[in-house]
Amino acid sequence: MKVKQAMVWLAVAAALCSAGAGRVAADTVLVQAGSILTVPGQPPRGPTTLLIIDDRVAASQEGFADAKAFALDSPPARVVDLRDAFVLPGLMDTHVHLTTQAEPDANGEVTLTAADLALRAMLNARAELTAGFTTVMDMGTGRRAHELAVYALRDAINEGRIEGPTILAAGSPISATGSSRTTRYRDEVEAVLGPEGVCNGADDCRRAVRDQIKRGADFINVYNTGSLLSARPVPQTLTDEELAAIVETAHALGRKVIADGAGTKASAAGLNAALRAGADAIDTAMFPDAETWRLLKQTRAYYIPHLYALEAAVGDTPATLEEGTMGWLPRPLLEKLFELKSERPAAVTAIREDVPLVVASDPGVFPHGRNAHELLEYVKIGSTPMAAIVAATRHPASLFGLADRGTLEPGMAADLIAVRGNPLQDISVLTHVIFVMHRGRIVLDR
Amino acid sequence: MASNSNGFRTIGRCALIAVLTVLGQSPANADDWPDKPSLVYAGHLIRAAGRPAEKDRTLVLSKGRISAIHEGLLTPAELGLTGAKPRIVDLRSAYVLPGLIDLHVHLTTIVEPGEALRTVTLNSADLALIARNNALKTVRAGVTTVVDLGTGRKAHEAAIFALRDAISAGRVSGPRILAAGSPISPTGASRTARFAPAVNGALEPQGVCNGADDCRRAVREQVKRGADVINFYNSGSLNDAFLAPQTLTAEEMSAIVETAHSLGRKVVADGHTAKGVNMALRAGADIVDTVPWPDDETWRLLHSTGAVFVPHLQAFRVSFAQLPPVRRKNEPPVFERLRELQKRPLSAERAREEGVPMALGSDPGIIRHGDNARDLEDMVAMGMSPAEALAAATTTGARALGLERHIGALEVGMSADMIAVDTDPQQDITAIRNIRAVMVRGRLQP
Repeated sequence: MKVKQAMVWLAVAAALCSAGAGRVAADTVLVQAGSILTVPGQPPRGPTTLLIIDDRVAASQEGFADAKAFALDSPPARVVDLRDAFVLPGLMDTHVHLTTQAEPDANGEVTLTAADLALRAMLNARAELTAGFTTVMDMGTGRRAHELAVYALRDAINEGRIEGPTILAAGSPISATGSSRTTRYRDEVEAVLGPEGVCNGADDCRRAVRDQIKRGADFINVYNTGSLLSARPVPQTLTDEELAAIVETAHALGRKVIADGAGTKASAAGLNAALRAGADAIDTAMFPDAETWRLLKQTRAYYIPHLYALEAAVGDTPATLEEGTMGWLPRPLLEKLFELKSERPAAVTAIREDVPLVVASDPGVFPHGRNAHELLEYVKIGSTPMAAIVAATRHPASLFGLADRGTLEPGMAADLIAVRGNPLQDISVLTHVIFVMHRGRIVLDR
Repeated sequence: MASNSNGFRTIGRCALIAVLTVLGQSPANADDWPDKPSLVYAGHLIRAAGRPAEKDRTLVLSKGRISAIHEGLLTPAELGLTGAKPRIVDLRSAYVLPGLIDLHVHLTTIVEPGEALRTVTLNSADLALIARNNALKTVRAGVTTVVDLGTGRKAHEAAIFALRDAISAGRVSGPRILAAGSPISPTGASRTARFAPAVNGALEPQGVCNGADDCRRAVREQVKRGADVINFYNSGSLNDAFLAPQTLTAEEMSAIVETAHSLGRKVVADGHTAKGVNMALRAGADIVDTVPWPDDETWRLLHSTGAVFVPHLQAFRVSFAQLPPVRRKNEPPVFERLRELQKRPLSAERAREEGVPMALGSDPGIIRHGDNARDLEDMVAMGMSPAEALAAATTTGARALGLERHIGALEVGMSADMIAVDTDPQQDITAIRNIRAVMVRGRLQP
């Protein structure tokens, strides 16, 4: 905590110096917020003004303050009037697939080039940013062209050439032969497309992690069970030794590890093995057992439910299965998804047991930009709105070691959004974001 | 007047927000192509370069085309448009003229040192995002159609085809792109940077052919990959120490042109010597490009074939100004050649005296993207009237591409590709430095 505070002060000092030293270029913006949730988890405050310098929150004052109140030499570039709005930190989504979208012939895998996918990802990323998600984690698909597209987009956004959320990319998931969860094509096609990130044996899995990081991965996604759509339950796909090698290598290289458990029944073995190996979070963990909850408490790893994607994928009754976003899937798969959807989500237990949650919505299954619906699902199953917002701000920041976001305290990144109404009373207002600032740049102002 | 143009800007921004809103909901179907009609109120309408401006005209747009032009500024009710409220683009204070056509661009190239390094570091995804930014700069400069002549690299090809497709599907903003893919050239004349043999092997220039049959194959291959036009190199480059007079045989050129024409593609011959250009004209090329040193035979052939001449104007100046000191010193022939081109008369002046049809081909990639229309100022400086310069960039360009019934003028049935400026560009060509609004196929550009 002390280190974090010191960093915050350093950042404030740096921001104020660069503004005060008579430098012309520093971009200053005042954001006047009617209400503000500076630190999710703590009560919101009334009228507050934030001073944004370049890409940081430099200072904060009670009330609607002007340049004079902040002792600025020159008038700010802009005063943003959000006096009627509720301001909160930019949201994060820990599970997106920017290169895919829910459409029947989604097989961009065999028709689209990395260039096509880069432009598609650019549009999807912008849709998520304008929906209030200022940081997203792309989990990859296991195909090379998708990897290239996401890295190209991430870099272009970081360099300010393209507008979009900050992207952390997994590259391709690490998986054992046969469990990459990509569509299987005929052998000749597989031979040229070959899923990326496949490894067998602890040494080979070390290599696979290193390879992903060499190519540009910001974190590691590992598949440790079969897929939601597997024909039969596959409890665990990587051995304990392989999982340990993956986690150890990723951690040694400063990367967090998310274990994507998918949703097969009997997949608790895989989830638990990943937790024992030291994974930082388990994702899509739809069928945990008692041991999972025990391990989560013991390891303090995060639990990532997967609620809205399943809600959206299929219709609400057996008669309307095709009305979901994945309605084009074969009927037996739709029935299977419907059966899963009808069960009481394990996340209910997580909320009751007070296991820390992280929001991950999985757009790609449904249209990009609907990410906030995941928070609505949290509230539906018993979470408080505040806990849902914490799960989309401070928890993912802490999970990914992003010390500069998740709150709007001075020194933090100027990633903020605004809504009409109070999301702590009605979480659904988060689906109508009216203002988005990313890294100090205003990207949406309705 | 000022309030009107502000009014227009507001409409433009609202339109952008509308686009973003649509994107947020469904990126796959994002476009603002009006199913319902749109109205454009043109204070002064220049239907085609050389025609007098008509005061107060209402253009009715439907599905990206001009469906009617009426005298006066008519309300939807006066036009009998009941039902859905049409979108109104208010340009009543502006001069509205056809969008410009640039027959020579390289959207995947950035004008910064390090192009050779970028060739070996950037993949097609990176290049697609770069090309998208360049396309935005281009369209904002009033250019609504470009011919991308390619670089001879596969990744560039993939990027430009992806961008072309995304723009034509309405997913991404930008000019209409006609792409050549890679230029057709014989071994050793591809004008791409040479790397170490192993790297060259991996990067192998595209579009290389030797022998008439092989050149037929090369053209077919470009078309198969997606080429809209065929570009071939019929001489060495003025950047070569030895400027090869003619790089393809007469038979090869004939095979190229004949194959392209039978596949319905126009042929651009990019030539730096009179010998090469003349041979290309004899082979039936539709457009000759660059042509620094034409001879008497060139003019005779241009007259007899009706081919269109695309001069280099700013590009020669920029090439000379940017020639690195080390090349000035070590490559006297290149230096002398470029220096000679700084002297008058330019080949473009000769072309004007000879009365051959001339079109705009500004070569961004060498000049800055977005500076395209500055070539028109050069044309005026050498004695053309502003209307003649505009004709080069509209009607002549359209005719060279065989698209004169679709673009290059604003008549009923033609594509709604138009630009708006504050003052009369047929009086003062510098009016097109300040573009108020750009529309491509009925879509307002951001």
